[in-house]
Amino acid sequence: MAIAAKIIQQSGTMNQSGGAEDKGRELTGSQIICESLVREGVELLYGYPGGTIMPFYDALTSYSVLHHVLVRHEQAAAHAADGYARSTGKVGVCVATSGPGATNLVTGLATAFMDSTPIVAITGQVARNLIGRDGFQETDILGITQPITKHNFLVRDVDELADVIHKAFLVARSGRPGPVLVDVPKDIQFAKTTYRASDHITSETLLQQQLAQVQSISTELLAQAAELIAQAQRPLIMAGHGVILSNAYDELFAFAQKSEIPVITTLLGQSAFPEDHPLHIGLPGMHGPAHVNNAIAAADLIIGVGLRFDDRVTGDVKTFAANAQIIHIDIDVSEMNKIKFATVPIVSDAKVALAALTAVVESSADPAWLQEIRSWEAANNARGSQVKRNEELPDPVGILNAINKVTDGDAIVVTDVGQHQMWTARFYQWTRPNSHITSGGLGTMGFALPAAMGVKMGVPDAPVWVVAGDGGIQMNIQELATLRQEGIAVKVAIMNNGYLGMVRQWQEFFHSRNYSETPMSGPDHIKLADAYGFKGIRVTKREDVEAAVREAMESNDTVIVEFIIDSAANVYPMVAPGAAITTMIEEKVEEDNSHD
Amino acid sequence: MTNTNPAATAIRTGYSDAPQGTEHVHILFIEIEDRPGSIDRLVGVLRRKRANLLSLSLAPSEQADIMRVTAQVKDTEVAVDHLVEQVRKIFDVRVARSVSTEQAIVREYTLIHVDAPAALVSEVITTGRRYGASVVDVTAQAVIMEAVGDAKQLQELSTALQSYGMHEIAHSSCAACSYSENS
Repeated sequence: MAIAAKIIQQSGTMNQSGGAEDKGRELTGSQIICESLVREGVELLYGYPGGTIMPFYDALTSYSVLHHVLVRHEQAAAHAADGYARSTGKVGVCVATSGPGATNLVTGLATAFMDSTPIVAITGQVARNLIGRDGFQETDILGITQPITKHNFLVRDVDELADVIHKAFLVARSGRPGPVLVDVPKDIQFAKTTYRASDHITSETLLQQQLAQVQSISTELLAQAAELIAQAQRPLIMAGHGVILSNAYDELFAFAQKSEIPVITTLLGQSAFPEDHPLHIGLPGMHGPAHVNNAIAAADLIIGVGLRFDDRVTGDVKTFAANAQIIHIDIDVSEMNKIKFATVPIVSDAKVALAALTAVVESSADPAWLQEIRSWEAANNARGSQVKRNEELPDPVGILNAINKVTDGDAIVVTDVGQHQMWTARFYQWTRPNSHITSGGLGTMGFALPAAMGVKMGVPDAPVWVVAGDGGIQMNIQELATLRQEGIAVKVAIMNNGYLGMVRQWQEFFHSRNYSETPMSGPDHIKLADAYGFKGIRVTKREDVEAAVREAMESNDTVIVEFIIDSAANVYPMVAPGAAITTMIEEKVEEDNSHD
Repeated sequence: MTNTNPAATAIRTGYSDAPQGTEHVHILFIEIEDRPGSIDRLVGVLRRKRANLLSLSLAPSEQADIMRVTAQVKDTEVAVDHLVEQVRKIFDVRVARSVSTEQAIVREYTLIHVDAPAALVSEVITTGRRYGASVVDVTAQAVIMEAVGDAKQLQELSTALQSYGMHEIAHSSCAACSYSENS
């Protein structure tokens, strides 16, 4: 059939194909999925074919506007879609077959769910007559993904297929975003029906209808918030992922500028506010520097924007911000009073709420408050502290500084999970909006490499750096083959300490240095790079770090740079899980020798 | 209800800062679209959000393809409000609201099978009737009675019949109607 390819608009209006549109066309379910994806503006999908999704893959080749990336493991498809969604704000799409294909998506869906990123997963399912009869590669993916998706659909009939796809996109991107799974039985992919695009409303139109019904923030709440801000002596802004998700960088900046209130950015809020700005004070919580956590303890007002008071931020909830009233802005009403009681709960998109607040606040800030925080910071040497134990080996903070310097702050840094993630969050100076991509809520090792693939394809002009440990990089290392096949150029920094470093650190602090199953050997990363057709650089000396980063940047291809770092380097300061965030474990510089 | 489940008063770490010891039985009315997995998701949310569920009933509503779910939950006002907001986030949920038991008429149904030798049958029946039960079946060794009432009435009935030796008791979840629609 010569359908396809000509329908490339996102607007919801189809190209007219000689008046045939009104009567509709006889299409298969697979073609309807493709048509619907095209109408949703999808250009990229990540996936892996298999038995029950084959009819879809058959139709796919007729839709040249849909660029499919063949990953090497379905988990990577979900992470790549997630990375694409985080970096572009669009919905990421991944595709898998039933059974093991679908279950391999699970970790990626859970990652997206915890961090509220919009992705749509399309899975094949066994034919309807086999469902519930333990068919080959049948699994109850609806049941399995129920707690880790914002919603999921089993398509019951080919006639509801188009609407289900559009609804899936609507659910994924509206309100607090999240992953949505659409399970499509194989016989529905084959089934034919009359398809008229105009009968099916795209998520964009549905979203506009929804937004039209959204009530504006009550002037009473705004007045209460303004009153609290005016009265506060020691106010703080805490910016979370919601600021990035709602694209509210300018609004946050304007609000902070006008109110002159110091800004804290949570792990997922990093890069929502320029870190070189005098009002930015840092990261809160478990690995936040002392002056930030002390500021939270001393604060009399917290303006929390798009954050959920995660336990890694609050530590012991009772003592967290115990002296502060809270203005909590979040688009999800169920976040209000979940962890901390909000004196003024504002259920709203961050962008809208920040603009409204900016209009009603005056600058009333006492400069002594910021000065006090800065004096704590200076006392602690909180920024740029380097590992002093071993002066020879590359230093984690130095590696990050080199990446920042060589890319002129233009890089998007995608981190995996562990010590390198916390060093990056803590010490990297974010200046480019939305340039920090990480798995915060779920803490998924193996996230960085496939996610970076999605980031680079979403923002092709930006230099994209993966920062990973030698443990996590192995968890989706097979995606180097995808990078090769697609010709995607990302730079991969591996901080190799021969350990599962964060677990090792916890063992050192909390398990009497019983290093149970954390020392690990790795492959030769240079040979590994070579095997996949990439250049590999190994850096063993501190003075070679910047040159290696520069060399990586000079290449137009993916480059793997392995930095051998001190195996005993820790992330400081650290708050023990569940403890008050002001009770920090600091580095003891004087006894930094010998053990382990 | 005379629920003595310790979970009902345990401190629920990580939830609201609302003072504990203010638990109360709330009735949740939920209308949910009848799609594959929708009830599953609703029950999953109740479990994941650690609702202290006392009863759950499910039946088709008067609208096509919509199920009506009635759940009794014992918790603080704040926790229940939070639960309702979580339930409202479920895509297939059309309506979700909670009312306290005082704001609703609540009825439950019970079937009681009492072991009663012939000599005692009439006494068992008399006792049962005094508590609003009626006879469903009588055999040589047993009486089966049924009753509709609120939880307290049914509790009194089963206590009264206990001394005769209860063979089996089957108790339904509740059906409820709220007095006011705007709660």
